[in-house]
Amino acid sequence: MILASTRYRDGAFHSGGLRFAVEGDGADMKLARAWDKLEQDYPRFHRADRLSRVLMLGAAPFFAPGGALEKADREHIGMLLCTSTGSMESDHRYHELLRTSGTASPALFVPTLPSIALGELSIRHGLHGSGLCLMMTAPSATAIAPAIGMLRQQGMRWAVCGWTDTFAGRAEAILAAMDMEHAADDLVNELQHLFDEH
Amino acid sequence: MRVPVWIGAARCVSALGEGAAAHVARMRTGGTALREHPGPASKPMVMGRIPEELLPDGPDRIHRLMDRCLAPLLDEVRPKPDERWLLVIATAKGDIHAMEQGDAAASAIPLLAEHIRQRCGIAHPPLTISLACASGTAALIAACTAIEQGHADHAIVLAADALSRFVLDGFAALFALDPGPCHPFDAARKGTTLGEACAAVAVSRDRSRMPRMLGRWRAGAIAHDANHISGPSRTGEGLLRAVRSAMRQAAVQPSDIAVVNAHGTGTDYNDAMESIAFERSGLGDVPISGYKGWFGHTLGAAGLLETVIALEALREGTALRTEGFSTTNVPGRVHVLTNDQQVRGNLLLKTSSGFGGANAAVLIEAASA
Amino acid sequence: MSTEPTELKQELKARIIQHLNLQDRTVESIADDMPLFGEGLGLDSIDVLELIVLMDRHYGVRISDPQQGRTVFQSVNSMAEHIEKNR
Repeated sequence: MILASTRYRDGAFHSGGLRFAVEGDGADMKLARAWDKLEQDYPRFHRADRLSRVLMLGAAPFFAPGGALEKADREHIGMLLCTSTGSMESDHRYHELLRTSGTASPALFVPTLPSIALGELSIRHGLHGSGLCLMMTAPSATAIAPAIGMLRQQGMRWAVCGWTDTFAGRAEAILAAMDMEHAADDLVNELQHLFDEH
Repeated sequence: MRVPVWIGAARCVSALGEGAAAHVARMRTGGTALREHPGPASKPMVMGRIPEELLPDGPDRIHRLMDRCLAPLLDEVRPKPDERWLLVIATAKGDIHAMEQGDAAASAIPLLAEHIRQRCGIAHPPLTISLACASGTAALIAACTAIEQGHADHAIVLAADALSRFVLDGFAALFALDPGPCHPFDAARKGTTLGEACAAVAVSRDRSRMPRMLGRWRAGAIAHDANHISGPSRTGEGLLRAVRSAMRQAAVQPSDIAVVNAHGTGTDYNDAMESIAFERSGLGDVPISGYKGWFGHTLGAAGLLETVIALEALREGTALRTEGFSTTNVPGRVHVLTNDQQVRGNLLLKTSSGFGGANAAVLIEAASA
Repeated sequence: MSTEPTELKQELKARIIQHLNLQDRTVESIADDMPLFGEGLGLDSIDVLELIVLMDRHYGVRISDPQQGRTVFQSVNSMAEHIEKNR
């Protein structure tokens, strides 16, 4: 079942009883201000790519004091990240600099893989579990049902699961903290419901 | 009781050639396919480039690579457009060439996935997996688990990545490339060598209808290092967990494993990390090979390509040597093969590790020849 | 070579901040002798590579071995020294 969920879209954040909106010049400044609002002491956030930042932001309340996964065993928390644009924003930044300057930036190259966001989230919270980054045009829980089953097969008791997208100035995340020890169909239905509210 | 899942109908293409049997034959008798080609800015660079004559015509390289494997696979297995078929795709960079051509939107991986889905005539939305250099292995895990759990009866798993300036320049900027062909696990290793490949298999619960049986699925797992984005855990945390989880699920001991096919990129940190994780997993005496010295690091295709080749060799009771390897200085105790060797048993452990600290491990029993 | 050592060091600090996206840093907050790695500025192995790109692009100074980078990039002082010696 879904223990908790968060939504972020272009400055507007919603997590249980917590709701706020930040203003800022562009997606990056809004993300930085939203992060500051959550009072996270994690300077690395500001140096991460945008996909990683929107995922870390959306998942932060799950691991905060009193959060749904605060006390969950880090060895058994899985991650499923669905995205349509993936690392395209980072791809574009890296490629533009390469094209205009002729030199490749190592720091910009690394996040040209969407699963880097899973890496950043796992580092942030010490998650050693299973995980996948799944590329799809629109969020669909039924399409990822086999991946949810895969996490369960590998002993994942909980999961951070959801949708994030960032490209051309947009940044959004719909994330769920899930307790995986429930019927697979129920997990998929609940997640689909969360996506449908979108 | 777990549903048996069978793997077969394999297709693959890399710089070394086309088809698993041809790969094994060349690896037994020939040398590396890694050689100098014009790289970015026309500078010569060592890489594993697929010869043009092996690829069909097509809009661009990634489509040509995929079609080389997909066309004959579809002829052979003929998937049905019903919900019992699943398509699982793995790629790290997909059609990144489109971005290099100035069309960023066209580089979106879901577009490529939808194109393949239509080509396969499969109704169910595809599972398109991006897990860096562990993508191919992760896709096999996702497909086989989906069948075990009844989400589908059959699946096609397709993994591909093409060479691009984008990736060549990126790895060069990371100082991750050996100036010559890479030397996995060797004391003289200086980095990896990039390659390109496509590999595809059919996976099914129906043994009788599986053409060219390659093996039987046992188990697989993915785990994260939670340590560093671009460098692997020094202590092999994620790989150790993935291997242990796969072994636990399949209820096997280290002595049950006939051969380990490692990720073996040829970078200092990766190979050191793997040796530690394998030793910690109790696999210090099990023969280990890495194949990237033959055709390079083929990114998202690597896990599936190397699995297919390792199974093809193991069907005949053989573990192939590690091209480019002679003496090791890795910190963990591992038995890296310098010569092809007859091995006892038929159980393969294949592992992959990638940026983001993702690790994947699969256990597959090779079919008998 | 018109740039004065102090001027060069200030310029280096600004470039490091910009290049490595250190949004929480100002030029004033980086001392000339502050260690760039570990306890000081807290840079990591990817940052070494990024600094190698910076040195090449802006000062035409090539570093072909990341291990050598570790000595060059000890502090802003050592970076400036390396540039003065090699460009």
